[in-house]
Amino acid sequence: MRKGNNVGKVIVVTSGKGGVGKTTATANIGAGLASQGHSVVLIDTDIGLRNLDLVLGLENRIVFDLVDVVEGKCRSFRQALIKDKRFDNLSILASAQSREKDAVKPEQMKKLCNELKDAFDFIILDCPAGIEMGFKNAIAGADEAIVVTNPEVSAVRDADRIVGLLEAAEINTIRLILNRVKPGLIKRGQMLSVTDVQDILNIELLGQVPEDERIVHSSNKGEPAILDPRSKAGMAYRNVVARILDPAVPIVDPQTSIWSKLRRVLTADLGAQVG
Amino acid sequence: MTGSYESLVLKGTRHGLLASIREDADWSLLVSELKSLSSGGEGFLTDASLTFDFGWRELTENQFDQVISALHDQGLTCNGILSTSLNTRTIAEERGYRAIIGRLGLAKHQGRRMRREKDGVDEIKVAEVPNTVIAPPERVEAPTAQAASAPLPQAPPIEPLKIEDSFEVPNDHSIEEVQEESSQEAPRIEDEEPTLYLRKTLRSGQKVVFAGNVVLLGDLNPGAQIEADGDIIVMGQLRGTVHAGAEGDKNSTVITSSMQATQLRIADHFLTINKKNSFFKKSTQTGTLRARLNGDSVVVEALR
Repeated sequence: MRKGNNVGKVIVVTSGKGGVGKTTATANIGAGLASQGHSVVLIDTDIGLRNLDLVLGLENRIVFDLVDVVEGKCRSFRQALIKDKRFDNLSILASAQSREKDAVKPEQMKKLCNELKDAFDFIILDCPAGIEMGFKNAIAGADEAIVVTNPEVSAVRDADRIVGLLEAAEINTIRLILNRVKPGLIKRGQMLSVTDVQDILNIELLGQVPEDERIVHSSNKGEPAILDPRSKAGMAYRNVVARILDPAVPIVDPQTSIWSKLRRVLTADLGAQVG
Repeated sequence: MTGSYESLVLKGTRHGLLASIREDADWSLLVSELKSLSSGGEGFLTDASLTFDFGWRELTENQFDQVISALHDQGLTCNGILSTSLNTRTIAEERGYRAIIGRLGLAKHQGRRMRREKDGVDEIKVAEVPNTVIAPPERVEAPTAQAASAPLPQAPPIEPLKIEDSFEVPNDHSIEEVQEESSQEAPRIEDEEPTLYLRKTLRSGQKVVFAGNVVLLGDLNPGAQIEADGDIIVMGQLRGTVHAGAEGDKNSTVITSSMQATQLRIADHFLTINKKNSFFKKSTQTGTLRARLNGDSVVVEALR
């Protein structure tokens, strides 16, 4: 089932502030890694607010959830894993909808992550918003962290707090995804630029994802944007995945993407023809 | 109020009694001294609640329980612990004690000082007397110059910040006092006020409270706080909240090369900085700035 020979990597996707795109990022990175042939399991640790399954369109397949696994209600975690429709090597472990965050303890998460490490290349944890129990559960078993933030003062402030907490928990590989970037607004000085955010957070940038209206549609359909060749966000996530697999891959700046260049060339050509 | 124990140093702070455990002290000696806290040589401890600074020392569950039971036998309680060891903190937390990442290193510092005295080395070269009746600016310049000239050349470049000493600051709004004693050189001047050197970025929610001067070699991010009884020097970007002279010393100052703070506090006065200076607009002022108290108002001026 696994591609690599080493033990799997546990990556937690976290942000502090809600609504910045953690779940979308988790789903897209997971689908992206799976499309590259890696075996991936995504865990929704947001107990009580289940939604990772929706973004991947797998809601109707849930039988057992995370709480069932840690409480031993199913034989092994394998029974609770839901296989993705598109990729055989991608599965998710849904969170419980009717329970509270304290239904799981950090030690239980740690144990589960360690078991999963032997079976998968990547274990990606979708962390709930906030810095309480749910956050502590999610980071308990993590080797690395991806902090998702938006170019907004409040999101950056929360991300800074999260980075501090991650450092204190001795998670030393912390990388940043700057989500919902609007190059137009940055150009006009109305939005924090990547440099502004980097200046504060001072952690390695994994990628920047432009604001993309198509992502709302793809989330509602249960199709990750990364599989949509026309989606700008999808393209950014493909870059993120490439950078997770090989840090030497350069970051694609949404402002100078192939697509915008191509569009510029095309419109210039059209303009010439019309003129 | 400092007890004369070999394995630990007792110190009264504004947050209660602090017991700094010497990191190289023998464990059995420590336990026997702990057992004599209320009856032994000093004999002034009754009904007290202590905060322990274990520093780098890694405690086993058994050792931690020994400490707690030694306290309980004498009617003393443990307020919480400071430790840089995750294991030790976990053990304390499992038993319901507050554990904070960090260390003061006071005990070792003390030990080094005692050793120096024993060796007969006279380190008190500069007879700088603080708090004499000198006008505020002069008083300020002296400690600043010393602080800046002595340790900085040895310090590594400010960025990238490596947390080699793993100086972590509390993660919740709890209070921590950390004192670094740099490994190579002992403090040259017997200051009345100790100085804390921090070599890291202080992030939102992290707070350093220190009964002395604080020098931060790194950024102070928005939402992070430094509260010092003396002066505060920030060598990186100052974007968070600083409170110099928190105990009321009106001569305290804040010195930084990049003033982007939204609020400055000195003694019991504060200055709200106009939003124009913050976040979007990079600090246009270059050079070292100093904030001090001029009468009843906080003023920021260029430091020559």
